[in-house]
Amino acid sequence: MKQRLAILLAWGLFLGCAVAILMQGPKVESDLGQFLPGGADAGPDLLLDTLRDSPASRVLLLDLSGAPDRQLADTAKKLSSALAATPHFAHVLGVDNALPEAEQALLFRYRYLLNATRLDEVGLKAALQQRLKELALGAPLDHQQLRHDPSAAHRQTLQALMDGNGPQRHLGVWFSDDRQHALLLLHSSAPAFALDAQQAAIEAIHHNFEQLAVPQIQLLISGPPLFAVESRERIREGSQQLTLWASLGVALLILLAYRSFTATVLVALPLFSGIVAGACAVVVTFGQLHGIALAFGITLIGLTVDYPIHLFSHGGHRGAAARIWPTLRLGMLTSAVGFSALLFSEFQGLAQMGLFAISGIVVAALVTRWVLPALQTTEYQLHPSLKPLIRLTLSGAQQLHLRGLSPLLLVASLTTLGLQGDALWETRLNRLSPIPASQLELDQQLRQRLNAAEPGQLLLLQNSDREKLLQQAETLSAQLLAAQQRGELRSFDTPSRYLPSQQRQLQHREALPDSETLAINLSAASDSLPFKEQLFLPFIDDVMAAKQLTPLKPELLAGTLTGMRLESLLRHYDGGWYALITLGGIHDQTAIARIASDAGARYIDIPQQASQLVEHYRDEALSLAGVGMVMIILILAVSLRGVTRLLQVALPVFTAMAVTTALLTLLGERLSLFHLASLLLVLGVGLDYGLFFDRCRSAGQGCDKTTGALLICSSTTLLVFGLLALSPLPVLHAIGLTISLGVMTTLLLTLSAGGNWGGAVV
Amino acid sequence: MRALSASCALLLGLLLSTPAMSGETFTLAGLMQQLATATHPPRPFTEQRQSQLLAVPITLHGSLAFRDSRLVKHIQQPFDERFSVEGDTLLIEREGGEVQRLSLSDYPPLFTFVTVFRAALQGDLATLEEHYQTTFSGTARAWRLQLRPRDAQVAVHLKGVEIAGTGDTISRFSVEEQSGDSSTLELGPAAP
Repeated sequence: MKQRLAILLAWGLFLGCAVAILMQGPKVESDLGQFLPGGADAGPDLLLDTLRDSPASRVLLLDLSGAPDRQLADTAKKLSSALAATPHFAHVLGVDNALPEAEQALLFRYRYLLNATRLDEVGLKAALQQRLKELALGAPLDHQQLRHDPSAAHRQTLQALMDGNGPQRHLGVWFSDDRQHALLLLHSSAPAFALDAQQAAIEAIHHNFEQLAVPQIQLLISGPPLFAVESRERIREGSQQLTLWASLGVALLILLAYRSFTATVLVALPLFSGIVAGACAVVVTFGQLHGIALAFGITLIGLTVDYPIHLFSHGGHRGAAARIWPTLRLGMLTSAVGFSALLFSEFQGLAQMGLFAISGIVVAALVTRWVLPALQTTEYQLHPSLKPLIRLTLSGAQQLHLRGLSPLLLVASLTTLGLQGDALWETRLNRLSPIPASQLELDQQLRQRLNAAEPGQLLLLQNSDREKLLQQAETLSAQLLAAQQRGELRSFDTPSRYLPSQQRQLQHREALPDSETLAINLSAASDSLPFKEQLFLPFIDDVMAAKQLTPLKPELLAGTLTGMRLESLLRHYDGGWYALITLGGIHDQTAIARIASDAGARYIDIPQQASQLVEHYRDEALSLAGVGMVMIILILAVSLRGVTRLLQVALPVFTAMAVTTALLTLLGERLSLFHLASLLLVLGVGLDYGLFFDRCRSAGQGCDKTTGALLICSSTTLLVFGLLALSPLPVLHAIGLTISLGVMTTLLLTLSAGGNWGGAVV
Repeated sequence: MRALSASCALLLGLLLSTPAMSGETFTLAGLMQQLATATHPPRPFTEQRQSQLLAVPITLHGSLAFRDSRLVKHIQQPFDERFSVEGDTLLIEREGGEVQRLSLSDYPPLFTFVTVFRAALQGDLATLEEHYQTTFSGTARAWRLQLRPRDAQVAVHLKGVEIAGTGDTISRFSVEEQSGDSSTLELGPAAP
């Protein structure tokens, strides 16, 4: 009794501590970058950062259609001003929204440094003639502004800033060529990976659109932030639903098998404790827990649901726990050792996953050994009505004569896999995305209508000096502009568009004439034109003031819309500055790549880089899993003391893994990290099956209880993961299918591996 | 409100109009009907623009044509530029073949001119009254239609428009801006 209390107290204390640590709010990272290798140099780091948060990945594309153009334009204007007033967007493009007054004033002051303006007689004359023409035609001119800026330098600045490469304007709004769609382009304030902030931004769009009460207008939203948020939602919804059904199913199954409510509740305790322990261990060791490690970790320790089932099938009391403990312990140890290889991964995510799984499994086993018997009130037993079913399954499995076939199956499966070559692996990351293809197609359409940059294509310039970097960007922009005119590229965006280099600004300043020359030029230029005398005195004053200005620095733009756009393309990492040049509609990749390499820029193809990274990840996981398997075999060889027993335990599960993989490829699946992690679970489960059979075989006491336990175990696993396999979401489907197939083949092979013990049943 | 001002205009028209040559009362509605059915051959124009910025007004010469809802203003002096407006599209053709395609609504003064002029030529009273308060006066020989913008945003820039004519022919079109600038376009007789 005392011992029982002490155990429960210790367990309670442990859970309390663990929960207390977790309650302190460690960050559950959902950021892919955290899952990537740490301690790399600035280059790859920046690359990762770009993968996570490239400027184009923050862009949402909006499309309004279904009403006459005037109404669309009106709605687009209202929506854009409503959205610009929210904190969610740094930039709303598509409507003639004037820049804030303070920013306009700043840019106006620096107009002769920001632009190249010809202020000689010829240049001024052309400008004045143009103004006169505009006046004659009734173009909208601000009289005061015209007196200060007859050469329209400020207009030049604004055009470069606001319009960029946007689509055609109609009714003051961006429209598609057929004028059926009004278009807006939003830059979110939050980075692409900040999913909660992105979700809030998307909700703000829907909310503000509904407020406008235009039910006839159809609003389409697209872009990376939406995809990210929707992926998470879909996976969350999908797995929540499945988890609910699976939990109900498992509870019902346990209730049917043991006819005990306590057993139904207790069966979840080891898993639950394992999850808490795993999360706690990762948080204490790494300071944070990655969402992906958490998800994979929980999948891996899903095998611990089997532990209490083995216990209950043997009675569930302390004696039973003591009897099955050596087997359970060996199973736990082999699984833990198998996963321990992951700890040495250079990828923090894999290391977290390994640590999570090991701590979880160890704690789950300890809880099964000590806590469950202490909580037990009656002796559990598989309900006798299940015995015929067990016998039937067993004889059925043995009639398949898989035992002799096992090596053959292994060879056949490995050959199948070998023949697949590179087609074995999924390299197209978007295949794993839960976003339907139709939506991705829509995104391409919108991107084309909007002339928007592709989120995955950009050029990267690097320099330790920000000024030199801007100069490089200017040179590169000139090349890209030429490429654009040749039709090799639809659009591009560069930091130098938002702020010329200091050098260039100085060049502009140096070219400004002194007041006398300017006055002479001006009077010569306006000689034959009907402008009033002295009209442009403010202009001369402004040019003289500009000659005293020091070039506009990025710091002065801080907090302005222009500054924000600049910051997103001009980034600082320890020791260096980086310019990102986004590209849209690349028609000639070779030409662009050549321009990039001539300018010393790196051409980054994000989908390609990302799949390389994932391949790297997968290869490492694969080799670590290989090391793990070797260690498992060594441990088994030592513990089981004999090749025959070793083969009886290990051969079925290794064969099952090979058969499962071969079946997956034959079903047309391409393997990803998700399949790999699932196979590790199959390995853990399969070893337990093998070890428990080995136990009953060596004890010579008949294997009815073990077979019963095994059937319940595999039924629960199949129930949970079979449901998952039905999910339309690629990730859940991959995990579900692999584990279902794996457990089924393991079960069949294990049941038939025993050979001569069939007679011992019941 | 619109109905009220429309009936006011109608009343004013009735009060001010003298019997037309046919013996009928000359009203805005009647004028509009006449304009709608009349043919509008291309006519030469002289436009004077006065501005606070200019010592001397600018004078433009050219021709104005309207056919199938397409308005073409061809300036020939002192420079050559052709403006064609259809719907909201403004096509500018310059000397040397340069063509620019713009959205009319991005150029408010031009937008005013085109919408009013087009509506007047088409006898589209509804459009005129949707955007402007109308005051009609004169006789069939010499009538005058004054327009004041209803939209406060437009009224910031535009004071008013006045169209004058004889029978189913428009002879003058003047625009007054809030800045003090103004323009007057006089249409000459159609070439025989």
